[in-house]
Order: sequence, then C-alpha cells, then structure tokens
Amino acid sequence: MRKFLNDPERFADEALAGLLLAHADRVRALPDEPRAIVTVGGTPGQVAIATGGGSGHLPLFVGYVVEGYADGCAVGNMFASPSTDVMLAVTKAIDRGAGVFYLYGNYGGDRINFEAAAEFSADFGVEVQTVRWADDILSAPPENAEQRRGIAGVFLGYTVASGAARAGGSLAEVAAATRHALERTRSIGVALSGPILPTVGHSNFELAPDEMEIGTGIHGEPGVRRGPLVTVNELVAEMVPQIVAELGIGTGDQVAVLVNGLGATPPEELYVLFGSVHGWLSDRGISVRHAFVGEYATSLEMAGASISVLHLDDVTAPHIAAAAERVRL
Amino acid sequence: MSGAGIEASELRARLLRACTQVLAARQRLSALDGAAGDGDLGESLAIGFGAIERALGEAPSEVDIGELLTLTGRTLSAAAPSTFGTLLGLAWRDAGRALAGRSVLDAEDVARMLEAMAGGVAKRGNVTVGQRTVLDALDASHRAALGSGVATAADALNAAADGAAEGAAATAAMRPQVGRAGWIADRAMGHPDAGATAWAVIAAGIAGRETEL
Repeated sequence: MRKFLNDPERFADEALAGLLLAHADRVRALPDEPRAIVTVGGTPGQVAIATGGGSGHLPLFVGYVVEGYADGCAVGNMFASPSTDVMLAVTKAIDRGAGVFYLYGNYGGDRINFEAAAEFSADFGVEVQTVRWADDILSAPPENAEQRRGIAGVFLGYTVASGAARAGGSLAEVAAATRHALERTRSIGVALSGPILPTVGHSNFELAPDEMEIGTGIHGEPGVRRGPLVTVNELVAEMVPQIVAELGIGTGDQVAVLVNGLGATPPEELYVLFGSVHGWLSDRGISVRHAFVGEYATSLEMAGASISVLHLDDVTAPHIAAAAERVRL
Repeated sequence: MSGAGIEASELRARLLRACTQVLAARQRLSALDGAAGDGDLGESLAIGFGAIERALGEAPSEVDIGELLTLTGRTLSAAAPSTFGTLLGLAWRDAGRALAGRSVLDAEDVARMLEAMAGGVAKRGNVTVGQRTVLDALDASHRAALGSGVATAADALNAAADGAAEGAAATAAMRPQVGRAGWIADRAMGHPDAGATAWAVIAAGIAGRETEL
C-alpha cells in the first residue's frame, strides 16, 4: 500500500475535515454531529434533499452537498453506513417545512439506518420520502431489480431530484420525478483493479495484469464475468447492448450518457470509452444529447469505469440539461 | 404489580451486568462469528457495550425505563455500527418507545419490551424466525416471557434468559440464509449463530445470571 496517510483509522475523518475546510463557503458540519454535513443557506419552503453513505467514493456522497444536487449528507466510515442518528440530524437540520427527500444507494446497512431515520423524523414533524438508487443491472436480474446496487447513475438522480425541488415540486412530486429517472437509467461497471482500504492495506480483490472484470461493484462486490482485457470497442459492444435492451430504446430516442471513472483511470481513457459509446449509440439512431465524462462515483484507487445511460423525456430532460450546463462551467 | 416491579435504577444495574457479560464473552462470540462471518462480532460488541457502560454510568439518575432503553440503543448503534449493532440498537430504541414514560417495569412490560425488540429486528432486518439470526433468540425470549409460570418482572427476565439460551442453541441446526453467512452456509452448520448467542449472553446478564456458554 502506498497512500497519503497520517493514521489509517482516522482516514475518513481527516478527508472529511479537509473537504470541509476547502469548501467552507458552501458546506458545514453540524456542531453536535460532525458526520452530518449540510449546505450553508437554502430556499425556505422548498423540499430538501438528503443523501448519505460510506466514505471512500468521492465525490459520492458528501461532494454532492452543493447547489443543484443535495442539501445534506450523512457520512459513514470507509465503505460503511452512517448511523441512524447522523441521518436524523441531517434531516432535522435541512428541513424547510416542505419535507425531506432521501436519495441514496441501495445497500443493506444504509437501508436499515435511513429507514429508521425516516421513521424517527416523523416524531419531529418532518415528513420523509425515499428513493433507493439501484441502477447497476449486473448486480441482480430484472425480476429482482429492487435488489440492485446503486452506482454512478445516482448523479443523474440528484440532478432530477434537485431540479424538481427547485421548480417548486412537492415532496411526493420530487420523489416521483426521481423514481421516474431511476426507471429510465441503467448502468454497468467494469474493473481493472481493486480498491485498498487504508486499514486493510491490500486490494480487496485481485485481477491478473491482463484481466478485467465486468459487473464489479463499487466496494469490490464480485462481477459477472472475468476475462482477458479487450479493446474499448469490444468492451462497449458487450456492455452497451445490455443497457439499451433493458431501456428498450432504439432509433429516434434521446439519451444522456455518463462515463464514470472509478478512481485510478485517467480522463483520456474515459473519453476513449465515451467516444466508443457515442459511436455505438449513434450507429443505431440513438441521439446522445448530454454527456458527463469524469469521476462521479469512485472507489478509492480502483481502476475501471462505469457507463450509465438515461433515456430522456419531458420530465428528466430540463434537469439533465441544467446539470450539463453547470458541469460545463 | 407494585412490589414486584423493577425500577429504572435496578434496570440500569441489570443492563450494566449485561455489559460486563458481553465484555467477558468477547472471544467466544468472535470465535462463533468466525465460523460463518467476519469474526469481529466480539470485538465490535466489546466496543459497543463498553460505550453503553459509560453512557449508563453518566446518565442522570431520574431517567425512566423508556429513556434508559433508548439511550442503550442509541449508544450501541453509534459505537458498533455493524449490521448486528445497528439492528440491536434500533431494537432497543423500539423497546424504549414501547415503554415510554414507564418508571417501573412489570412482567407485562418485559414481554412488551421483547415483543418490540423482536418486531423491530424482523421489520428492519427483513428476517423471519428460523433464518438463523438474532431474531431466533429474541423471539424465543419473548415467548418464554409470556409463559404461564411468570408472575413478576424478575420472573419474566429469568424466563427470557432461558428462552434466549434455548433459541440460540436451536440455531446450530439452522442453515444460514441472510448476510455473509448465507453464502458460506455449510461452514456455519453445527455452531450456534453468533448474533443469537450474543442475545443469550445479554439476556442472562439482564436476568442477573452467569452466561452458560
């Protein structure tokens, strides 16, 4: 292991402390719950958006506590759920009287804690509705879609949730728009190497130097196929058809594409991937209206990428367009 | 039930005894967990119950039964945020809600406390009895506390400890279905479930008995 560290046990706290100092103009920790991070400011009467999850995935989750995405985040230890009370503290702090919308990845520990936080929020008069993001199509078959894991496509979910909230949507409307975005988004990941937790010191899975694994999760959850690394065009020809088939899209449809780096993959490689995805879709008459290429959900120094496709429609398009404009700036 | 009840101060003393028992059983619990899981349950619970010990020691003397149980649960979830620590912590909070405002515990309250805990674990953990989890011990505790020989709160806690021990022992013959133990099922068979055993240790401590491991 070769990492910038002081104390492996304090890694998550030290990273969060640095992030808070770097972005003190827009985020702060609650005095009584140092892992509860909220925006500075906010519009009264608007539905507030809370997220949360384990550390080790920046900019997921706490990096999205910024205008246009989320209003608060519960931060856990490395790859581990935050506690119920941290999410409860976030919820109480960000509520502006219109309720709080929870958007987070579909993982067991987060589900238990955030469902409990939602339940306890009612005791404080705060209404909560939830969407658990579950876009990774190789983590469970379509008939068990509710068991799928959430990966980088959640970025698109934040943009739609926040856009719906800023447009004055009610809590139910924000939840419905986000659920709609999830139903129109599919993702697949591919790994070239694993992440190293500072307290563990070695990669949490091993691949041979010339190997890749398709379907690997962002904590190193086992994928569906290992094999020799192929060219980008061959990889895209294996991954993208599965996404397109589940979305049921074809000629004349419009999409947003997100090519996400998992932490150690250079932007150049991501653009090579994007170019290939764009070509594959264009050849089939599918129009790529918006592109997001970069690091949106990482797993420490994991090498690899994920491809997410959102099938645009009237509900999602304005919010995705606004996000594309922000990212360009 | 006056005279047969357990006051908040006595419940606090009993919870502290449970902390001592868990700390004493840490290696045994980790060994059981190692048969089917990460092998860190004993250490995780030692951290969690050490924190409960401190929190109960620092809590003001006037806290009632509901507040004591809620404090115990909150402290465990925060200090031991594994799935087990989270679920048991939330279960204690459910018990705290069920007994909100009570200053004395009677036999019916003990049953209500255990019903709330078992119900909380089943709902939040999405498990049912027979799946080789802590729920098997909690549910057996609850059923034992409802038994015909129970008159006082102390009787109920004793019966609950007996039930927990039997419920935990019965998991040795169960095939794991959930969590990490679910995909290395064969290794776990023959050993009692570590989480169910942890509840047996805790229930014995609350009943004021040594753990029979």
